[in-house]
Amino acid sequence: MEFITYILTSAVRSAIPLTLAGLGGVLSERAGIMNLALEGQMLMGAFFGVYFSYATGSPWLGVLGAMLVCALVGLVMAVLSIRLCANQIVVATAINLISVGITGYCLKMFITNIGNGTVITVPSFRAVSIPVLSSLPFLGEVLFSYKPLTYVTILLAVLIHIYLYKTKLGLVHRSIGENPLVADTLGINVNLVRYGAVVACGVLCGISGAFMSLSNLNQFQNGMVSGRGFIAFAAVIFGGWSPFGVLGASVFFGLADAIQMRMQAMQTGISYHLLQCVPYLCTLVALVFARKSAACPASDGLPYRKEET
Amino acid sequence: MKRMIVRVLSLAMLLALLAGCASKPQEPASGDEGKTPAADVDSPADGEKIYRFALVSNGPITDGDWNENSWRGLQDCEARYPGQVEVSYSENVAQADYADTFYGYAKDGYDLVIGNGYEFSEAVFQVCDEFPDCKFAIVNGLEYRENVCSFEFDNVEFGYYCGVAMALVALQENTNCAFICAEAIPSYRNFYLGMEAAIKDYGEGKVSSTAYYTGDWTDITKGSEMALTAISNNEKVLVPWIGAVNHAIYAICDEQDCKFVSTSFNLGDDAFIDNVVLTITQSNDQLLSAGCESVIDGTYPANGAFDGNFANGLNHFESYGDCLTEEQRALLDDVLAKLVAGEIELPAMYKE
Amino acid sequence: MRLRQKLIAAAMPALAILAALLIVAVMIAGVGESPAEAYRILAQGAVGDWRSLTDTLVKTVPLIFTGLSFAFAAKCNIWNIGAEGQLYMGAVASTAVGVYCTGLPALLHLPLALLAGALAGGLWASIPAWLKVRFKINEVVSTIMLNYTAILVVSALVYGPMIEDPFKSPQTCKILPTARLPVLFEGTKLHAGILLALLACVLYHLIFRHMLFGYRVSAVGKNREAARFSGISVERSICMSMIIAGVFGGLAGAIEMLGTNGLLIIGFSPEYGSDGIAVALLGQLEAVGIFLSAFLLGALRLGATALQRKTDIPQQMITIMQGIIVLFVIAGSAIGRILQNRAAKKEVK
Repeated sequence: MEFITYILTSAVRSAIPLTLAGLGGVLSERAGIMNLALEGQMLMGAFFGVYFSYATGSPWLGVLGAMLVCALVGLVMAVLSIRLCANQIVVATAINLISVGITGYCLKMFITNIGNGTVITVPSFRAVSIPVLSSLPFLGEVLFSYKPLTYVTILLAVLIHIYLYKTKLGLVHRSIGENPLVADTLGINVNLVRYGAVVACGVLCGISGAFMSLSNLNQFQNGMVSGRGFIAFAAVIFGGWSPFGVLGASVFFGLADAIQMRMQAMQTGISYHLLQCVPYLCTLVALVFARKSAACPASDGLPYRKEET
Repeated sequence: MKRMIVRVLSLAMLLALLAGCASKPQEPASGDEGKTPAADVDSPADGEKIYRFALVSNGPITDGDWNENSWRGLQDCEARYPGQVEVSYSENVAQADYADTFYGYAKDGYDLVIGNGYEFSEAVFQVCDEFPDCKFAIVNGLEYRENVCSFEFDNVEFGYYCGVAMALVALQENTNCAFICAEAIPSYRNFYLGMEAAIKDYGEGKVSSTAYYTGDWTDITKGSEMALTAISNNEKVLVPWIGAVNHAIYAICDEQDCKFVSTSFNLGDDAFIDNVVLTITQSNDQLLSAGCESVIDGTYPANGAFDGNFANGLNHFESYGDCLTEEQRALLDDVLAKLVAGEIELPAMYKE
Repeated sequence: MRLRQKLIAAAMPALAILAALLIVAVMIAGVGESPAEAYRILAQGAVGDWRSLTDTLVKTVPLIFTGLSFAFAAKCNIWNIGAEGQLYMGAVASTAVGVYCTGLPALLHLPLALLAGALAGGLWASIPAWLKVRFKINEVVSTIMLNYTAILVVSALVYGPMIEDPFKSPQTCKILPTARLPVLFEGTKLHAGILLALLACVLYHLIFRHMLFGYRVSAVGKNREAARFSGISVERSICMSMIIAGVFGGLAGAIEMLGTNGLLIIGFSPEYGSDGIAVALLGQLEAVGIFLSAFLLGALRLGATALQRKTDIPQQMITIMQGIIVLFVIAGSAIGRILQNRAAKKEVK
């Protein structure tokens, strides 16, 4: 039983940053902007979450700071992709590169002093146990004893689902991703919605990064995001560009990863490198069996130019 | 479109070439970090030789552990020989750039270029023959040349000593031991060899151990999850050795009320002190400082190694944790003395 | 009026590079270093003497191949993010042939090793190709997953059966001299891989300019349904372009092993795969553009090592510089395109 509890809680812990960034990816891609810069924005969020928490003494303000900084990064990306119609993949690649540089530089200059050690105490989140529910025998630990941002994430997934599928603006948002020209002729301001989507994506990635650095642990290290932005991107696709799909895909990935770590403990003799392949291969196999007919938003990645009539 | 690209990029290259040819070498700016740019200048007027040492690392120089300590060693040497020594570093160097970096330092006339890990061996060997007057050193290197030596620690005895303490505590707490690191490279294999041997000797057959590999030197989350995996496997005495990720694992131990052996110089949070079994460190800074000095005083071990072990204090016992009893401490003192004297039979190292 | 606008549009990317260099200069001055000196060191480190120039070309070779890899698939509107994985597979296959096939003369051994690398890359790319055509699985996600898988599989091999000495560092045995690419100039590291890279560029150009196959691939890339209606087999084009992209990726890894490195150590690729994407897109998917972009990025890499050694500019700032330059170049091209369109529209009026 402890084995299963461990696997499930580990899966949820791993899934949360992926879900948050994935939700951002959903918003962005549903509006037609392919966002491969999730990785860089998560990194910025992770660093500035720590920085603002350190500076203000409150982890919540740290998250807020991370959100603001990443909104700015999202804005830069939006201007380049929407206003200038630059190739979204290259823009994303450049942003990822710059994020690595900026966070490394700021870490060196503003937080650490060479020779004085890098480890500082940063105010961070502690696990919150929901009063009665968390004492339930099995479910208590698996469902109700996480850090606050975990619950915030689930809430966000629900909210974004409602937004995309139940509101008028959500319908507009989705139609822009499918066919911006038609949306434009209906009088919708395509570019404004797209700007909003990309900035919102930035904000969510900021929360994701801040979660990693403030919730799971309380420090920032170069390279701590370690490719999760790209896994989140894959989760968006795997989840069929829907919020709950992303949540499910992320948990799936987290599960496979937790199982892989457990198998290392079981000393099966299988090379630990091959075990680490498990999550990635599971994703592929699941994709084959899921046979998602949910199609990619038709104009994903294509810039939209307003024709001057 | 094509013509435009040609024009654009040709312009960029032209600018670059112009910049390269046009300006004359200016006085290089000096920094306050102590990293001095390589001047293509000759020896100073007063005729005294200035030794230039460089450190090449593939991680950040401010990682609070491996690389930072090595750099501190060089700075230490500079402080001990004021005016005679200049030190420099290159950090976050990608594997594809190793050889170019060593080549560059050698070409700039450095006296000693240190690769901060065995992974630099190939690159150093590619370059060392071209510069017979330049000395190289590899930390934990496994092969030597005339101008390439190794600065290394005896990790088997280090692991053995650690294993003894862990076995004693694990027996007491009715649990097992785990070693968590990033990759199964020789230094860590050696450490685990020693640790396993000690657990066999002192665990009375009741204590087992596992080695976990996260595959990543900087991924804090992976390290933490590995620790949690071990703990859920009833391995509640841990020894993590993944550079700065250690501190995250110490935090997990604090949270989960488990014990650990610390290989870090500072714990980062005094709250962790209750969970410490033992603190043992390897003084990268002393090792490198002494290594650099050997170039100055002429004792550089050509075609050999500069050893760090308990006997010369470079494998360093720092302190016992509060949870060890007097009896256990006495036993550990005894083991340490025997290790220094070479009386304990240790498994053969992964080496030549 | 029209001419002036056209000139501005044409000069835009060049202006963009200048703008990037200016911003970076301000950053460098901000940390108390001299921008002029920094640029001098950068340029000299990259192309300042014969050795540096050849070293830059050595760094250019894998970038050309990964650039071509991404570009070939992109022409078919397939996003091959998998060059990194294909590179690793090509590297391990060519290393295996280079190490274990003993007794072969160089005339056989070298081409065999290259072939092994190309095949391995092509096979690895055929997986996402098949997944796409058969199960409609988005190639972005499948190639990303396979990238990680490839690196891990190769790691398992290098740490396991292919390790030179299990008691020493995790690397393979040295590739036999009969399988090594010959060095072109004494005293440098520049090997025949650069010739293969140039050949690949020419081939790429010829395929898309003159050959029916290239025409079909581009047609599918531009409008899949229209191509299907005109009788082109869309599935076949997708598969072939993905596989050829994989072949280029595999060759990137193979040539890095057979030419530059001589053995396989995990971590040998500093993200050549994703740099290849930037190279392909900066080069507008054209052979000449890809070559020049690859050269620029290779030069920046080599120059960056010189900057770290000779100045106090933090290494992270150099990374930021590289990102800013890429960003401004792509923004500049975009602005240039917009201005060009405007100029063209004004002409119509």
